[in-house]
Amino acid sequence: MSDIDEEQPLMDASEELCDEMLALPQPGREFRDALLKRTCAVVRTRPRKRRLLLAGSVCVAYAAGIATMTLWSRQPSEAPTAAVTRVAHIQAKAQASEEPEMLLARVPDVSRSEQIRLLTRAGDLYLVQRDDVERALYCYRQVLELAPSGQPLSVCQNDSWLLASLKMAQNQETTHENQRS
Amino acid sequence: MNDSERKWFERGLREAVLGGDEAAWKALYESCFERLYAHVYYRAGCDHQRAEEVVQDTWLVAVRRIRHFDPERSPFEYWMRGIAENVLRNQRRRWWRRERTEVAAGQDVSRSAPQDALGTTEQVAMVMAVLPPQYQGVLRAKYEERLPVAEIAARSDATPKAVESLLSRARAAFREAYINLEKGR
Repeated sequence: MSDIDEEQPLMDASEELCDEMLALPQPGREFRDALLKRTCAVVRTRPRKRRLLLAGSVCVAYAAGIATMTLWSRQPSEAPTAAVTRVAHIQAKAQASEEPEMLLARVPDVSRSEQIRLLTRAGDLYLVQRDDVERALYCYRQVLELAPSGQPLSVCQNDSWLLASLKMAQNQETTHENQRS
Repeated sequence: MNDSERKWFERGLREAVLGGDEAAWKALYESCFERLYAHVYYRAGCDHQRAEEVVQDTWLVAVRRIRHFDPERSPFEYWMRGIAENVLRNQRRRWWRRERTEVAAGQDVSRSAPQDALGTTEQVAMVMAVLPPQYQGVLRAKYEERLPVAEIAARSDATPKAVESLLSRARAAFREAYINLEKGR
């Protein structure tokens, strides 16, 4: 009995033929590896892009909030402007190196209009620099007395709040007296 | 791997890829690269150059759109084939336009590669057509799907020994049919 399996060569030839004819067509290993590398790069950068996008969105939201607040704070407010300007002007005047006592000392030797100016100035200095309302009131009263009588006093934009109030009160009093007479 | 295992496995891989895991992507890539290439190759006129173009575009589209892969709807390989079909459709138009331009310019548009490959493909198709269905099935599972014997056995509810025996008979039948076809020419 032969040990040789007669069917074996046929089976090997069949397998060889099938392997040759039915084998899947494949590209070179280089192409396969290069494509894998390229696609892996996309996978690798995906989380980074997502984080960048998130950070960008947060920045945009933050900038939008800042812009909203900036636009909102730019809206003009009418009431305080005049008073703020007046105080700022008086403060600017008071910053000049002048002492109210020195101004008062000059009052007797000058003309009436200059007296009014010096007394107004001294009153402003007492009010703004020294916060001395009593002395400021003293100066402003003299200004009112020196002003021409019978005529309404004009409230200037540069007048302090105290002087403006005194002038308006004086004007009301004058108006009442005129109506009575 | 049964269907629910497959879905669970592929869902896990997809999430890992979305998280930037290259090893997960490589697993998906290697799982169906060869079969996808063969699928594209036969549909690209058995031209390796064209097949490579399509396969490259297919994988690049897939990696960018991996979020849209749903293991519940279909296996990863079928999803890849869907993308490949779309890429092929677009590429065919380009190839056709390119050939038209070349013909208009008087250039030779005959492509050197396909004739032999096409001949082989036709031969294989004709030989397979005369084989019994069970032989066709086991040969396709072995050579096209590249399944190991154990998996073919699991799929067909047979033992590995039975599958090996069937495979041997199928190969012998294939060889006989091929020889007869050659003789008949």
